[in-house]
Amino acid sequence: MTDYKLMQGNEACAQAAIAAGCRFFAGYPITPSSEIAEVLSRLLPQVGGRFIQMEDEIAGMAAIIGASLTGVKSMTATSGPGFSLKQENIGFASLTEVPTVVVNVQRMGPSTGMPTSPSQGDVMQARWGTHGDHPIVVLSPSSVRETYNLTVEAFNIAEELRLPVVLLMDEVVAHMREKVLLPEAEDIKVSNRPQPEPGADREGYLPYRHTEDCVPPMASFGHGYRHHVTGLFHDESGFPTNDHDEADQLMRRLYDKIERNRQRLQKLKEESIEDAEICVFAYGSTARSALRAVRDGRASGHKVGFISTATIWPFPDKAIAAVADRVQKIIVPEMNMGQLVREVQRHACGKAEVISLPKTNGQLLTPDEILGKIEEAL
Amino acid sequence: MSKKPIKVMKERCKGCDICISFCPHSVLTKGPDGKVVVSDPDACRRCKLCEHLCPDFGLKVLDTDAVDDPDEEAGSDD
Amino acid sequence: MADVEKYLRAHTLPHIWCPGCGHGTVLGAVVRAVDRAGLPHDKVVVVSGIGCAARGAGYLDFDTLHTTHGRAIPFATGIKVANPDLHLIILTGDGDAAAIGGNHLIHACRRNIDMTVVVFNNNIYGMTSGQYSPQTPQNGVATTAPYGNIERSFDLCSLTREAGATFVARGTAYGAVALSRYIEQGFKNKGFSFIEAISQCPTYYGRRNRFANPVKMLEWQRDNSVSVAKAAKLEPAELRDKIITGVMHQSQEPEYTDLYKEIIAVASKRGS
Repeated sequence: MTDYKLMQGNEACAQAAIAAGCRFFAGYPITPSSEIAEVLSRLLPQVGGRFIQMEDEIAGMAAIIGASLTGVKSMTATSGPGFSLKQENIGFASLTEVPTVVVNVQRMGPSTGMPTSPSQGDVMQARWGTHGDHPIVVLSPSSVRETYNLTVEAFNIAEELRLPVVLLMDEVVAHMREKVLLPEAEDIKVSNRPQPEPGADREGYLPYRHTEDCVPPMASFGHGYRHHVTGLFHDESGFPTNDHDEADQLMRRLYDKIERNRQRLQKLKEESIEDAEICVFAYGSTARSALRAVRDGRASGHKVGFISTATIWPFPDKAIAAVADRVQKIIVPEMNMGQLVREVQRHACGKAEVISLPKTNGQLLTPDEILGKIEEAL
Repeated sequence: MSKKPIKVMKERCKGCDICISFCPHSVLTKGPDGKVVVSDPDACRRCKLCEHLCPDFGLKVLDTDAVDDPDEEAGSDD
Repeated sequence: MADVEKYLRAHTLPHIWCPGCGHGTVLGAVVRAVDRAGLPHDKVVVVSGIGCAARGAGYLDFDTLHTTHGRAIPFATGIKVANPDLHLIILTGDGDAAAIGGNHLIHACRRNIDMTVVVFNNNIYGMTSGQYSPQTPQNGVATTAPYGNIERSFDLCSLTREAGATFVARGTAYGAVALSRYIEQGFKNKGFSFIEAISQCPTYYGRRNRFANPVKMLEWQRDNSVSVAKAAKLEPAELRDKIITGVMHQSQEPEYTDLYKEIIAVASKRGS
């Protein structure tokens, strides 16, 4: 039955996870993400899935990696302080190429911050929070419906590329309620990790084979492959190595996983870009205010355009460079002291003036604030 | 008793002296290469204490005539 | 008697542990216990953290998972809850389990989740070259306790018993045969099983604390072990610095994944 529902962002995330095939959640309560855990604690056993509230955030991340290794799609959800705690194990998932979805509902930070106020302060942390060079994909929704879509996408990307995917929500998207028309189950495309062919030669199985597409088939624990998974650098067999050439090869394959999939990962929305002289580039909740501001600006006759990205990492570098070629100024409103704007500056290469519009008092950026910046820039 | 009651996997032996020291019948000694040698095979009672104590999976007591659990020997608590 | 070779990844041997390290002996006890318990080879998953003990996972021919420091138990919890048909064996050290991993140990006991944790307790952080651990005796010398350790240790068997483990035992590398029996019993217990295996680190703990060689350390284990039955008749003063060995506790309690199956049954009826 298709009908509109009034749904909270966090609930949409939980519903989408189920629709995407998630059958395991492990996490820890933290504002403003706890509703995701609460909804899944109710929904998962209804579909034969399993929910467990772990003793801490670190354990939550560990448990979902363990579950995923048995072939089960798994997810955790947290906010800033918990996201910080999870970093070591996020790196483990990245290096061992275990598909997982990590939801971080951003709140004002740093530290305990303002638990019930939004921010976009974890953008850089989502990319670099764990030590060492590592691939990661980070998505950020602007609406309840987009939260649903991107949660499904997060699972699909995690499965297709065998890595942790961070869904970077913020407190506003998470707690607001919007009218949504959810897709039918049969219309939801769901991806699964590549696995060894059934009956394939167990002796010859290499869990970390440097395949052409950079994503080695992943055997599940309990299927008789008896393979080794370690956070130490390893060769194709999965066993630890200190060989520098092996390390180089693994690192490059992990990075190539992202590089060769940039098109697939890119999720841009544009409006009124064609003749724009000024462009506003935004993401997450801020994109809603930015779009309103751009439309108001256009109504006043300003040649202003709008670009938003739902994929934060990998950053849409080529798209931004192309925009910088065509416009004179790019305004980047963010609920932080200026994080993603650095990437815009880097890829604009001076071809357009990049203007940061930071707001970090725990409140949303309003359309008027953004319009004010547009008018100031004219 | 077989002439070769114990198989020594020399590539695994690290010459720690544990099997030599705890063998109740002084069957084992250290060879010139620092690895274990079955120097008195006839004394071996196949109690398998050496096999259990070896930290390196380096010893295998052959011929299953031997007592399965050397519980009466050193290695158990009462 | 077990042919242990079929449980070993022969190409990974000889292992990295020092000559005379007790960990190989303890690992042998684990493997023989797997054989005696008849655990299905493809359904065993060995999970370890970080440290010398944790390296044990790599040498065994099962599905093996070598995780982050202190976190083997929550990784294993995820595996077990997602697939309760798997048999979980955790290999951990005294630092890994009792310091950084302490919280996870406590809660796994509390949940009585069906897994067997074997702590290779050598009273030191060996992999990082000899710092003191929560199991280093008071006055023991270590690289970060050059004047002698002022901290008390604590009894992991008492701790896990109080936290809810339904099988608790202690053995020694010296008593490898009995140790293997305790581990086997742990496998057979449907619930959280904890076995503390006293092991020796001759290279770091041994040398700094006047043990001339590994044999002396095993002799010390032999000479200072007291069975549970005997310990019950002794005064606390007589038990100081002794190793109480045997089965400390056994009980039957509902197991976590069994309880969750009931939740699934209830929820499936309710929701649609």
